[in-house]
Amino acid sequence: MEANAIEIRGLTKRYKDFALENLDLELPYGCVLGLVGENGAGKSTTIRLIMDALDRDGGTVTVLGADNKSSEFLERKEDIGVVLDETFVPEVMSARQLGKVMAGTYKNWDQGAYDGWIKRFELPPDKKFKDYSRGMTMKLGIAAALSHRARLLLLDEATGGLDPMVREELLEVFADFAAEEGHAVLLSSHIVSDLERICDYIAFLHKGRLMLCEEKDVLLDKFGILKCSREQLKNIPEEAIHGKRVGTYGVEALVERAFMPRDAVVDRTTLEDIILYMVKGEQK
Amino acid sequence: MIGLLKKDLFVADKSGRLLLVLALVFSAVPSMSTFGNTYAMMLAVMMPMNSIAYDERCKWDRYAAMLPYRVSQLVWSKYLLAYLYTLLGSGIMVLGTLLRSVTGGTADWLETAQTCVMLALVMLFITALGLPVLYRFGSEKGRLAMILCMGASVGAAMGLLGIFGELPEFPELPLPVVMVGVAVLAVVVTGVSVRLSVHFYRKRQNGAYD
Repeated sequence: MEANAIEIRGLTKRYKDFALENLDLELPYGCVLGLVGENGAGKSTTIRLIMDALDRDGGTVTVLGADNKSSEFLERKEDIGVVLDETFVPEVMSARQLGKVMAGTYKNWDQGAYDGWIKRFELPPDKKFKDYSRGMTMKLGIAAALSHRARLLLLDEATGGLDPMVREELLEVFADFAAEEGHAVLLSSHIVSDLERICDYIAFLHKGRLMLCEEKDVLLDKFGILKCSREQLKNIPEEAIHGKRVGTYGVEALVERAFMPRDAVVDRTTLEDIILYMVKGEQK
Repeated sequence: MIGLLKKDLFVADKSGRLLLVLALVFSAVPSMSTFGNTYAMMLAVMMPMNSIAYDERCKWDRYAAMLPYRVSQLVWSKYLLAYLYTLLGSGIMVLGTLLRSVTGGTADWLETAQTCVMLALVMLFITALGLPVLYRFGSEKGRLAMILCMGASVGAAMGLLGIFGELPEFPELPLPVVMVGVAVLAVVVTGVSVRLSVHFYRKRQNGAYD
């Protein structure tokens, strides 16, 4: 078996007012990759390009060992569970009916597993979607994605707009899925705390460009927060500073530990800080 | 593809059944049978149209693109839906004729069979002409475009009649030959229609008409 569930090289998609440029990304088996970025950063476009739901302008995408432009990819789609930011299922349908539609769609559809998820998520099987809450709708999408023996889960903002209890429950489900042999999860979100909790890798998209892609733990070790005065900051090597916030009483800067003087006191940072400093902090 | 058809039938569910029952009632009443029969067949055009409108409203196409379907299958499913309703419409015409004969009215089975085949062929053509228009312009503008196309066709025909005074004489051919000829033409037109629909669907998927 190949090493990566997803391999993206030089992926490019251009619209009139937005471009996803030269994206390189890998998702190894057994891992959860968090795709983070603000609204409109290109996360959904990336997922649609991975599934060949959009024509790309450049680059290659290999999913579960198959080029997504090859005829083989249609077979691979059987092994990919997708949850979008909305369910997109007609609101007059019920969970039971969706099960029947999916049974006619996936060769590997497991009705028992679907019924199990519906029960576990406490979803009423005959209630129309129009009467579902957002949490219920997302759970239903997840139930469908997990019921055809998928090896790869693509989750586009699947936890957005959900209350903390439901999010916690779903994150556990995703983590359990990724822990199984030969499985992988790509989770796109702008809720960084969710990603920090379960992801092994973090990819940060900003305005269609990949700002960073790193193992989460490496990332958290690599960066830190320096609190100092403006004068002290002048003595810090420029290449160490990735973003800073200047306040009345001093400066807080996101710094790369490798370039810092040995005696400098650098606090531990969070993923959210890293991203916020990179985007919103005053660039060096 | 069965999954896609099931989805469309679930969406049509109650309204689809109600319209079929109405068509049957009209078809069974002797004075309204012609209207009822045409109405039953018109469902073959209406239901895919409604289904596309519903898909647009809930953005089903975004989800469908993630499922293991080719674009051609997604498009074909709407043609199949039209054919399914054509079959149901034919069934209603037969049932209507049967009800008329049982309730003491006259029932011309040969005429029913001929009307059935004729209307089914007309529906094949309308489906073949209409679906690419819907995929190109979307359900809202597409309906308008379809009505305009039909209006323009009727207008052109009336205009030509006005110019030439009467229809040109066609060589007389046996009805079965005409029907086979029309059926072959319908298959060719459908083939071109599906290719066009797939082309427009792909363009729409890529945001070309947004």
